Amino acid sequence: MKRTLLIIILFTLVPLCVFTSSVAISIGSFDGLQTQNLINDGVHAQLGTVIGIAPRWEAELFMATMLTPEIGEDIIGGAAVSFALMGPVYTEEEVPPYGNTLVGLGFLGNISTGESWGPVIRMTVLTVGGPRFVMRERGPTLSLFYDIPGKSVTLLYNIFLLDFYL
Amino acid sequence: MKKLIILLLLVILSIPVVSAGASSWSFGYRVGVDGYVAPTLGEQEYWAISAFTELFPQQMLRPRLEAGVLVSRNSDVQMMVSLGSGLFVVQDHLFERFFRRDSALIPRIDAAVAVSTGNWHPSFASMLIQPLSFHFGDKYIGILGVHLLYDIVDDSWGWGIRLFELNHYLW
Repeated sequence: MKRTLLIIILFTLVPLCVFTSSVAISIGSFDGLQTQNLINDGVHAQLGTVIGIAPRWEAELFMATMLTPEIGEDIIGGAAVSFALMGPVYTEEEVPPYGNTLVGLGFLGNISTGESWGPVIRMTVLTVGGPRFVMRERGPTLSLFYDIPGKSVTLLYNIFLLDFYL
Repeated sequence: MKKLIILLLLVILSIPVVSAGASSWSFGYRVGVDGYVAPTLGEQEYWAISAFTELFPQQMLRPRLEAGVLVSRNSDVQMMVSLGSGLFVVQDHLFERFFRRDSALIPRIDAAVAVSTGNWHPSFASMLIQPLSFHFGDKYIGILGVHLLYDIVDDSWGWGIRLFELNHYLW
């Protein structure tokens, strides 16, 4: 299962990198409600890469892990593709909107146990900034996660995510 | 203890009113995401929300008095009071290119005492050390701070992490 998950993530994002226009490193929080199958109680940090693949489209590859009470106890891996509702983000032809909203689809799972994985539908209520503004703040990002092995739906959220464009 | 905290909160709120003529930022709010490893506190994510006032707003390194709450999904609300300050200022820092606005790196340290609203007894004391605290004039952003914590109820030591915090001046 772990191998399958990693392969899905790699095969989703690596081809997209060929068409990359902008790349950012992202850092933020990761938590959820009723997440017993996916993560344990604790504070989790998310680290990832955001790649602009079209003016309104971006792909994201991320990992999240527990910081407290046990460092590194849960390892979550995932990938997502998002669409900017308010206007283009990755464009040189016009000034992009400073604020935006993202909706997207993705796939994530617990890499350390392989017991919980499935698709997510995501919405980032507000993003401020972007590649033309050096960095971007995102928050909150709400994700509805369907756990295929556990046959359950879970709400995941990132209170904040910071994207630092390279 | 309850009266003392309410009195302190009133003092914090009244200082900016009294010093309304001052030209620098002196009052604002702080929101942080915390995790703790201590018997009295749960393992879940905590949100620290507080109001602060800075006593000498014209100075770059200024002592800060703060009062607020520590809340989580499924545990007691803790009331907190703290005193802290920036330690030194680095104008040309390594992370400057990642921010769109002029910034300064100002590592800071805050000492706090928490009181459980369940029984109004002190529950823990903590020292928050933040090497990565970035100052942008009207706001601070802190990433990956560390709590050194003394659990008063359990008489033991613990630790914690402040994953992220935002300090925003209001006036």
